Amino acid sequence: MVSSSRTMDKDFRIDFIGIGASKSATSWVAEILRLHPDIYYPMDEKELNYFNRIMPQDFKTKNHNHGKPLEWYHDYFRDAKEEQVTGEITPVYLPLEECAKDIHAYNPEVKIFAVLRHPIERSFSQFKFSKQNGIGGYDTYEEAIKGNPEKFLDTSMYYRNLKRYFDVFPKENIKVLFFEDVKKDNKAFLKELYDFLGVSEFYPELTDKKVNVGLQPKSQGLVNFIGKAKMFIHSNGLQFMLPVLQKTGVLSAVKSLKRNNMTARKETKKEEMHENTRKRLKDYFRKDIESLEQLLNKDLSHWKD
Amino acid sequence: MKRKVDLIIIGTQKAGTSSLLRLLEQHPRMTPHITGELGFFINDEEYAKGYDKLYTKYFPANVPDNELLIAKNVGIFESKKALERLKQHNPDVKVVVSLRHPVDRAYSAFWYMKSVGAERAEKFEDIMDEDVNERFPGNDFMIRSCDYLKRGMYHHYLQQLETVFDREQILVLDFRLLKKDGVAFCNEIFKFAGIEEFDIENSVRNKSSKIKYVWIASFFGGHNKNFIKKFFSNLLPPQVRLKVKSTIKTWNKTNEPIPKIRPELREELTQRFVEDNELLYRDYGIKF
Repeated sequence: MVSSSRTMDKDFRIDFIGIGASKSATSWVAEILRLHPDIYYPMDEKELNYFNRIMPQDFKTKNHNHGKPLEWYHDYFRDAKEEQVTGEITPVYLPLEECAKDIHAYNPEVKIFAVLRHPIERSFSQFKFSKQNGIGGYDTYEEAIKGNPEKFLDTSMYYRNLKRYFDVFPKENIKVLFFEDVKKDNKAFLKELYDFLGVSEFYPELTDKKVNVGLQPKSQGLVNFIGKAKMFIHSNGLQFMLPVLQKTGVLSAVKSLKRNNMTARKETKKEEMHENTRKRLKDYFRKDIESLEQLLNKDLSHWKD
Repeated sequence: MKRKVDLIIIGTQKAGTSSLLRLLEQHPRMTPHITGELGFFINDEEYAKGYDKLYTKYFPANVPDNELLIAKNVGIFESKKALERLKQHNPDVKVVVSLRHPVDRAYSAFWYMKSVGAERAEKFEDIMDEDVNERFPGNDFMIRSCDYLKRGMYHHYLQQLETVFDREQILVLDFRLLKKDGVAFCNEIFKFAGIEEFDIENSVRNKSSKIKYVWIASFFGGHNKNFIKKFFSNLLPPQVRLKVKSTIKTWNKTNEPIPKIRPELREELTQRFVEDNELLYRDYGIKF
């Protein structure tokens, strides 16, 4: 560890945190911020998973990063230049109850942003993505929302989740953006984010490239196995093994095996959402959406149907 | 003017509520009624007599000011009429609901009604889809007690409850917590009631079992209003009556547990509660 870096100063705090939502283009945002010259975004990881007590894959397994000293967290930013703005995005911070006040205790001046997506679309995307990754996945969407409502439904209750942040942070320090705007006009989307973060405008070639899109495994069994192995390492505190596996090339072999197993996505009949489910979920989210409309003073009627 | 009820357990039936009342009683600042249930709000005859008159039947004469008067009646949760009466009695009353998996509850209720001789059906499957108004026409008590599955639509009843009482007056708890950690469960209620925490001794167990003689249980059942009971209720003081009743009921129990529900049936019936359970999770954080 390089101890001359400002990040080792006990008063160092990162400047911004993206708190969510998952499956709302946050990986695309991370890629762009990583390239931005005024910003230092960690190279080693996209989601640092520091303030959450449980893992986003199943919303159950304990997060072994939680409780680690600040030096561990700040080490991700050791290569940040003096004038660069620092931050990370971990989408599980949004739905978990304790994160808002823990982040506030860490840095009451931190800038918070969230990208929100149509609650049902986002939830359905999460279901497909979990199945694709073999961790915390279910065969059908109905099974997913019944089996793990914390992971698939609570994550779309944006008003309930954001309220916790609005309760502790001044509203000038919270920026809410929308996934639809990424698709509609990604430059305008980024400009809004840059203005909020206080950095210059920067539009790399990556701007129009899709990141982390949905694919489908050729062998679901392989995907499930790799997913289980990963969770096994995390839930048994075996992360110390990772550098060795990295060095010996095991990790990159697994990564390429995983990559070659993926092919273009084609939805099966089984995976489609039942019409009755969609109708039910519209009712489920309605009140939360209406409260969100009031909180943000924004019309979200396109989410209510 | 008699002391009003400060906190009341209104449901659900077969979710540990009888045990719960006895556990809460251990707290030095909680005083329950001596009977098992407080019939006042649900029983038209009793209600007509007026609270002050019924008070002596249920509660000790002098309850210190710093103690809370607590009560239980599991019929109230589903009854809009009883809820309105409760609100009139004490608009600031604190309401506690313990919830159990709707299918497990229905099945347990079925066996309970069998054990008191009120339910004559052999198997749960035989009557579970029969219209309770056709099975027991005009009999309010039976209609309430034997609508086994309908009673499990907790979110529906919680919506009704919220039209009568403010959300802050309502505490909804998961029965599984009572089984797993009775101390924590009771402390949630003590906190809700605004009194200090207290580590209860969780030794009360009311596990359902088959009984020896249905006619004996039937005698004590709520559906049974025979003249012998009336005679003794006028003759003996409540504490004595209660002791006699509980001694006989305990003797009447066998060690044979009630049969378990078939897993396939349980799964099939749980499907009927998917929507209600989803909303229950959304609004109260309880997952069945």
